[in-house]
Amino acid sequence: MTNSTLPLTQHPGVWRASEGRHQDTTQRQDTGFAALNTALGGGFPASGLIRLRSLCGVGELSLLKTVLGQNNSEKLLVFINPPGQIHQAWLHQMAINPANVTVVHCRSGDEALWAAEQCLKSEACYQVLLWHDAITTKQARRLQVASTQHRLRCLLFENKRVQRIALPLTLDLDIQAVTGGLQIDITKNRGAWPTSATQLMFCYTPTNQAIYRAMDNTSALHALSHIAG
Amino acid sequence: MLWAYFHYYQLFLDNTEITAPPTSSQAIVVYQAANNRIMQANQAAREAGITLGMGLAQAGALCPQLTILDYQQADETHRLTALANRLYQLVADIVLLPPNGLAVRLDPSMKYYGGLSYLWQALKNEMTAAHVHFSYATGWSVEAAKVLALNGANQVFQHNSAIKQALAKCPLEHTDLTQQQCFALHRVGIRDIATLLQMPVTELGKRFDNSLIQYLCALRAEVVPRYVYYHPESHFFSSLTPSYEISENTRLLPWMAQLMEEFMTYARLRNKLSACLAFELHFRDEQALSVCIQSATPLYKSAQWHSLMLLKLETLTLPAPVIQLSLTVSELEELEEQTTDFFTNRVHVFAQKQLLSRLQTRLGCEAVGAPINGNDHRLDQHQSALSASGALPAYTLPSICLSQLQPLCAASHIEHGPIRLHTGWWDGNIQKRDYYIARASDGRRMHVFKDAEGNWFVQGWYC
Repeated sequence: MTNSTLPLTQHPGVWRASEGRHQDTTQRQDTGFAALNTALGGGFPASGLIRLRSLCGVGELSLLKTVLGQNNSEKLLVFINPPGQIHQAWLHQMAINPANVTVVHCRSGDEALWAAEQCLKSEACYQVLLWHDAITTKQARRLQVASTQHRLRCLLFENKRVQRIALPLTLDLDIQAVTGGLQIDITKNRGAWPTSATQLMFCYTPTNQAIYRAMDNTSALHALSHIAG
Repeated sequence: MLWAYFHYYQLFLDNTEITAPPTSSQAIVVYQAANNRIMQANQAAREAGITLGMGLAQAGALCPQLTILDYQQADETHRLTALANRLYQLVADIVLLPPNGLAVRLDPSMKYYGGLSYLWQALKNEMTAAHVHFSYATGWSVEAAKVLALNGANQVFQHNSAIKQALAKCPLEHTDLTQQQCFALHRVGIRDIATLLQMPVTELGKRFDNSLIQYLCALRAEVVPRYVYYHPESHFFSSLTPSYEISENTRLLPWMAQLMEEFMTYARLRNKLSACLAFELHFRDEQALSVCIQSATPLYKSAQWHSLMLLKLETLTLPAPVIQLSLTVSELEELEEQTTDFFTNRVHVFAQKQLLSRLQTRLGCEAVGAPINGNDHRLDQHQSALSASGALPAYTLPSICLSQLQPLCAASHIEHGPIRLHTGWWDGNIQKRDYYIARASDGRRMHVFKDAEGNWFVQGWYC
């Protein structure tokens, strides 16, 4: 290597795949799952556009409990075009103060993108959650620039049934439900290699298991009492 | 120049009830004893046939169960100052016109908001949050805007032609002219503003006195009168007069919290803090009681003050029912390095107001809202509201609630449930449903229910 390219290689924005993982854990935020933290190289990036591709309802929001809940500054958490209404009871479960949440329902995808950009550019928000299924490269680039410049995360939720296109993102995740939890494929992670099939054991809804177990025990007791006569 | 005028036609009444705004069916009027006039009346009183300007006997005859509040102009002016303080977060050029008018100069701030409509939405949001009734208008001068607002224009006029057109329709009674001057104008055949505006000033000057000419010039925006802009006082004072007597300690809390919030806005604008809030409780016969809430360090979060107030109220004994509360903060402290959070908060509180006004202007007010909640087990009765801190259901609600029910088509198995809801007998909308959490074969978790006929529906997603 000639000396003239040396300053370039030391630039924090330049990462060479041969170097291994980019070592700046200060810019990463804990996800609450050790396995996911390792796979991501420290956790979620603090800013930029992050895409989560999944089917709606596999636990893609509950997975982000730690990421969404850390709001020290009482800034806004904005939900743009969620597929339904957001309930305060659920926000309480996620340890999010409903007073800091704004929900925006737009008539069209373009309006949603406009709203997302406004939220990213104002100093009022700490995280923007956007549901959009047909984002183009140019639009994604705008959001990516806005969110990095203003140092906040924009989470883009995309339905898995939509054709995947490559976008200028900081992080691209593919979430899939498996028995007992979720499987996460990291398709793109700026400053690190993609990884695949990270398994997270994760349960976020109540089940009837406790009742089944109790019933099993009573039937066993009944059987015992029959034998004992 | 572009001025907005806000006419608060029932300001005194609006501030006598903060916990449960206007829904009450109780007829309330504000009465001025000095000239035996009903000054303000709420919806229920107006429905009973009471009009403003009536005497007490007539009002009492129309509505036997009438709550009468004694009008105090000083109190109303205090409330107006509190409103001005609130608006001072958004715009700097405010003129107080006591007891119930407020003028805001819009053109200097328009640039910062990126247009009149954004600025207007921000102002409107702040007014809605303050729960006050008002009529408004914009005009080329304070006087013109005032005439239009008193006439109930409730419009934002931006162009001079529109203002002129609207002004021409207003009667002379809504101007600031005295009855005598109006009468004199009538006699020479000037019956409305349109003709008054057309008359050359020199012609009128021959017949009428200086005050009328001055007013007319201001109305036409030919001369700009000197306005005293509102500038917040160096110490904070605010008071509230509830419409009822408060004898229970805990009932005082929302009123004190309201005063505290007003102070926090005031302090945030100035980058100052205080370590002591001096409340004063007034009684009908007894001496006023001062309740001083002290903190070791200056606090910058309302939640922290809130918990201190709660502690103080627990130990307080009231000698008599409270009729009025006031808050005075005379010692403000400078911000220190360790409390820099206050500063970041200051930035984004203003940024939030701007952002919401932008979103609402472009997308419509109904598009932007708070998460839903409600005091009902039926999820379809829940609405987007922050104030309704309803009891949260004991079972896990889905993160996404669908506004339209979907029939359950996908193959799925039940993971949790049933939870039976059988409710709604009181309004005829009876629901009998068994709720389950079901997991589809592709791993999606759904909030499903079976209705009384045995049909299955999806009502939400556990995202």
